[in-house]
Amino acid sequence: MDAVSSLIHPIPGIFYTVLGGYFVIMALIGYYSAKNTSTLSDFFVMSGKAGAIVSGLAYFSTQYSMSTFMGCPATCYKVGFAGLTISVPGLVFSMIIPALFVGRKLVRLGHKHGFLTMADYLGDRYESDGLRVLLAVLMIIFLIPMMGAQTIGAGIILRTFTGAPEWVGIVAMGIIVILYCMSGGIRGAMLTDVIQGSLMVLTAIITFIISVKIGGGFSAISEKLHALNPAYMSHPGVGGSYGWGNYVSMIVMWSFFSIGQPGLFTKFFAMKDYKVMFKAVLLGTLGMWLAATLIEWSGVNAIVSIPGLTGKQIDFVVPLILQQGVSPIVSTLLIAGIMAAGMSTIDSLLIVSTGAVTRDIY
Amino acid sequence: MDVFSNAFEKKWFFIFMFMYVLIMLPLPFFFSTTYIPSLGGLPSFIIGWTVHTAATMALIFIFYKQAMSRPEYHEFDED
Repeated sequence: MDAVSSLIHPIPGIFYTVLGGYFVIMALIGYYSAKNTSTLSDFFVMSGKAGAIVSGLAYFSTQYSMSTFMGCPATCYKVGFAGLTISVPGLVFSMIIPALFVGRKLVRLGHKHGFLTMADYLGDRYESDGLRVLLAVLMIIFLIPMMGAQTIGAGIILRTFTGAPEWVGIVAMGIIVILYCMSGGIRGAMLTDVIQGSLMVLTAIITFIISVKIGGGFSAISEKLHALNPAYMSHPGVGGSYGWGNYVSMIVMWSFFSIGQPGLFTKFFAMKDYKVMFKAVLLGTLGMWLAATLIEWSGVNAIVSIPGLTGKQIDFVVPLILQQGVSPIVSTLLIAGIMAAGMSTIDSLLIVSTGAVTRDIY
Repeated sequence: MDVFSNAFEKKWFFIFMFMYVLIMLPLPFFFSTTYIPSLGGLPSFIIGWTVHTAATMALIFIFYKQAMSRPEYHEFDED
């Protein structure tokens, strides 16, 4: 039994049942999507017919991965309030700046020229097939490890909560995502993203409420944190990592890095019109802000609520908070929200990688 | 439809850039190396970030409403 398993007291039967039910729902959405996908344009960009709820939630859930629910709160647990610098101050620009600079153009180009992938656009813009192939190869090289990291996360969660070997979680998540993506294309990916994004927000809200309650309320938590170490309450935080330079770079990263992500870039091709784009920006930004702020803040609250975590235990701060505040069934469902964050990242990457191989290289 | 294509686009580009640069400034309610308590003893920058995010969201909403009253933003409505 490792250091993490000694703290977590799951009931494997409930864990398998809830997770199995969740996976079945994802597979059914894949089946429904497959029945509604008949052309290449349907497969890659929903033929430019995606609505606001699907576009907004899919954008935000694609952006967030397992690290949002494991690594980020763990960082905040170590650093204190300055750790929220990771995403909170810059998050509000993560969709509006891409929309201002490229989003509107991509909506128009998607409708007028039928672009399906990022390589379609760049290849056409620079009239170069070589560029298309180069971009496609780069996407495959860099996106496959990203997908791998998410499936490994699923394996670690499964091992920690059930004792099953890591490969079981890796294979199970891989099969489910491949099933709904390859059968339902972007429709399957984006419809599952709606459920996954909602689950992520729910997980963040409930984790936050429990962490505040266990800590005794905002004032009590602030008082205890300040008494433990005043550096928890200011920049650059404990460890000194979040100075002003890092603060600014995080804000810049949130607004501009999403423009270059193929999985997010192509979301604009799928949007039905400009009204949908604006609504998606509002909804997606709100979802991102709620999920990231509350889950990272929970990490800070946990310094008081669940003191004394060390090493790998800190990565499981969110499940540990949930375990203390809700029933095993609800807790498992919300932990599925962490896995959902990984699945929603993989599905979009899988679609763009598929496009890179089948359309841009082949 | 570009950030500098007409007065409407320029206005909104500069509004969002102002908000973007504003949050980066090391003002005590955004970035603070000393503990400045505010509501519930929270560090003041948490409240500052929240207010700034709410204000920017409100501006995105106003931009959306104004953009939707312009014909160029209805180009694909009948698709």
